[in-house]
Amino acid sequence: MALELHREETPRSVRLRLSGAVDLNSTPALLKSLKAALRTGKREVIVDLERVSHMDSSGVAALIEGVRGARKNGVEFLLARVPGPVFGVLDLAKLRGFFQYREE
Amino acid sequence: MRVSLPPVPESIEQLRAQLARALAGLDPKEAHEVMLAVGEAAANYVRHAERAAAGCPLVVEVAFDAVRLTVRIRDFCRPDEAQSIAPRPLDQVRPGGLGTHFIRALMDCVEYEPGSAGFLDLVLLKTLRSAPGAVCER
Repeated sequence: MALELHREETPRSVRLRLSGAVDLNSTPALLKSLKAALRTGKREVIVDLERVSHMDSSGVAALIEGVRGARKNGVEFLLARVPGPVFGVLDLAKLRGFFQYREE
Repeated sequence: MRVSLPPVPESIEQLRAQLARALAGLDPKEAHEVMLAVGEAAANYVRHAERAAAGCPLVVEVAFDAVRLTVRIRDFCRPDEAQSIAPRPLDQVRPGGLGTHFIRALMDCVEYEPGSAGFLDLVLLKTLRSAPGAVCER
């Protein structure tokens, strides 16, 4: 299933809802959306992964880029509703502790 | 299962779909691990392989029985490149280089065998959980 990206904004945050597969084919679009979200001037960027069906190393790399971009811009970068298989991929990369999470 | 796909990023999803059908009889977690590893290897072919740059298709063959699963990606690299394909240290948090680590973490054996025209096939082996105690003999 191809990746779909939906963006919602509140006065404080931008939420990117991802749906589908995050892989080599879809990460350019994800990176573009992350960069745009980081430029909005909001205090938080929340990446909602609940409907991600598959994530590979390119998806992990995109999330690392998101954290780096957020740090440069003084933005809080949070992952939300992370499915078990995606946590499995983060664990494989030994990066579960690298990210911050929004409890929901 | 044998698939031949154009060497483009869009093919990775098609490959996963065909793998999902071929591996439907396996333990779901095991099937997911294989799909992730094969997807990473296919992505490496699409991104880096000399053959892919020349437009040669991504050819993946998968065979398994109750004990062992074998995946072969045809003409993956040249012999001198095989030595340099290695996972990076995970204590460096940076994008890139994780795919090779994933492949080695998820599969039991990663080897290269002679392919065609001087290239090497990438061969991934996994002992299936349905056969506890079975060992990789390669």
